[in-house]
Amino acid sequence: MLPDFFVVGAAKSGTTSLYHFLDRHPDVYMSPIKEPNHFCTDIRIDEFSEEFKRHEREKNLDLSRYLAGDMKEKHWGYFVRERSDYLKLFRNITTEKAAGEVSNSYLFSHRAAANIRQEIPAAKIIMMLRNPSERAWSHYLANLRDGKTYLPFMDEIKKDAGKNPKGWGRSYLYLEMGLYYAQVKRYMDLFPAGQLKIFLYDDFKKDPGDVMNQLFEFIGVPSMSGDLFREKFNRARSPVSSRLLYFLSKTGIKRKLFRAIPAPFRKSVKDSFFKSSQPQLPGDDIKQYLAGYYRNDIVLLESLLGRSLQSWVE
Amino acid sequence: MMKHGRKTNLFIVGAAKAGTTMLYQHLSAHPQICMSSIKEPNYFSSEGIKSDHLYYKEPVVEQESVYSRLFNPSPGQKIIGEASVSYLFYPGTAEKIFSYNPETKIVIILRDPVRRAFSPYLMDRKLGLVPFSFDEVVLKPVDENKKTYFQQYVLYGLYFDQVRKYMDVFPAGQVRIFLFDSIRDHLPEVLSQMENFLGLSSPLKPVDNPDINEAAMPSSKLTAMLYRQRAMRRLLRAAVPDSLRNTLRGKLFEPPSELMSAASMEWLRNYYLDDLCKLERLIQSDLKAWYE
Repeated sequence: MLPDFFVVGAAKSGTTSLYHFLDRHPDVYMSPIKEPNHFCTDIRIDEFSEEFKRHEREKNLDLSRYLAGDMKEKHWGYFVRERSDYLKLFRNITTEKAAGEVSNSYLFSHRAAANIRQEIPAAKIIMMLRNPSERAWSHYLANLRDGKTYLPFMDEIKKDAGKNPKGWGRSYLYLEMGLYYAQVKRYMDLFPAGQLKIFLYDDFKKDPGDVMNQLFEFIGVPSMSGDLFREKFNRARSPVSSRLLYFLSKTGIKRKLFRAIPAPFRKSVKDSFFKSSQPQLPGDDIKQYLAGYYRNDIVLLESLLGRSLQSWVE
Repeated sequence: MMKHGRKTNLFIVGAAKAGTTMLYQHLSAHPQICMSSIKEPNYFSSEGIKSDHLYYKEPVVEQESVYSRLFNPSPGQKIIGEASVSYLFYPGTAEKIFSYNPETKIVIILRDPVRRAFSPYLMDRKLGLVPFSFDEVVLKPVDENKKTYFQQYVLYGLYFDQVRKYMDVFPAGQVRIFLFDSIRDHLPEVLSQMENFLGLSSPLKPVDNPDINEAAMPSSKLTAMLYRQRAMRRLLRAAVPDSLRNTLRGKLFEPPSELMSAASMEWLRNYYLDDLCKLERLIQSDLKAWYE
């Protein structure tokens, strides 16, 4: 059985929370691998850079064994390329009325929209769009947290944007992922308006219950109490030492270290790598740079959506 | 298919009394747009209209050969459009338009349904077309005759299903919904959005006096005149004795003198509440001003 709805992105815009909240609904079945990356056929692991291949290997998931098991344990993301494997992700569907998955690569991919539309013409598409400047900053903070970089923001994004070749699996696309216009347009050109729902991250943050219930209505399941959707997932944290974390991460020591620690202490050891204060905010120079970078794309997007995005440019 | 081998690629489908005529006139003035010589051909909803015969005893455009003659685009005019407000209301029209041209763009203008309901009533009242008060039609639509008015005034304002039909049929990128309120308050912004939506290469500017129309814009002036006379003829012929016509014609453009009763207002607000809440979610626009 194939899913009937897809959350396609954007990355760093609350889609992990969406995944958990959707999964909470008794009538909704979610793929146990949050991001199966099945329909983005233009994104190929064999073309990934060594760094990104290493990230994939570190997921350390034996897919066929996992799919043969009860799939009770959730996984963050994987490239589930074979159709037969992908179908297995949905074999535990019982009485649920809607089944879905969340792959942020589908928004960036040039092929995913057409592939989904062709294979599942009635598919419903959900997007969550966040102010692209905030998205880029949040993406950077997440990479700091995960030890994927230690460079200051401007150095990191310039290095990333200058990679050649760049793309999904070759660069982080801090800037490029926020150029929503062309990405959203691909879906709007292919899917009937009634099958496409675009939410703004700010609305979700302000009132997650309301957005969730709009989403439930959209996929055809009953609403739930808004209070169930207050939890926060996948939040940014600032490392005590970015360089140390980067080193431990790159050398693979971080993973081995955390695994060697007995489970009850793991969380507190992990916590000791991070500051307890709120993650830092971008300075004015960075804000200005990003605002300038995204200005035109936001204007185009506004006109495409027919919706004001004034709050993104103020 | 038209003689010139091109198809209509812009449909303003409604709602009635929501500003489509004004938009039609602004669009007509643009060099890259060819709007139909008659504003409302009603070609794709002709079957539905025929079965209703209140305002449309004069035949609507039923033959493709007639329909295609309403458009005379020059090679540089990339947009060929028309604006028949019955298209939003009559079931099956979205599908018919889609099978005619699956790539066409669709524009829908929506207006507070309570105000929208009163607007055609005032028009009918002036023409002497409605023998009932607004309250009688809204609050006690018991006989067949009143039910027809009820449809025209009240049911036309149940937008949710009407809009959803278009959203289910057409790709998201081909459908654009505007609110009457923003056309009224922010016309330049709306026209600039329209310009992007239609992919025009020069600015879409408002015409100065869209209701009377402009001497400087002969084609749209002619169009508006044709439309107005045709629509009026249609209305008058439908229900009014010949002797009254000239008197009525003079009164047609006087400002409204009647106000909606509090009872009708309250009934309608309540009647539309659910539909507006659903609509608000469907089109993801804040419509609180219409129901709060």
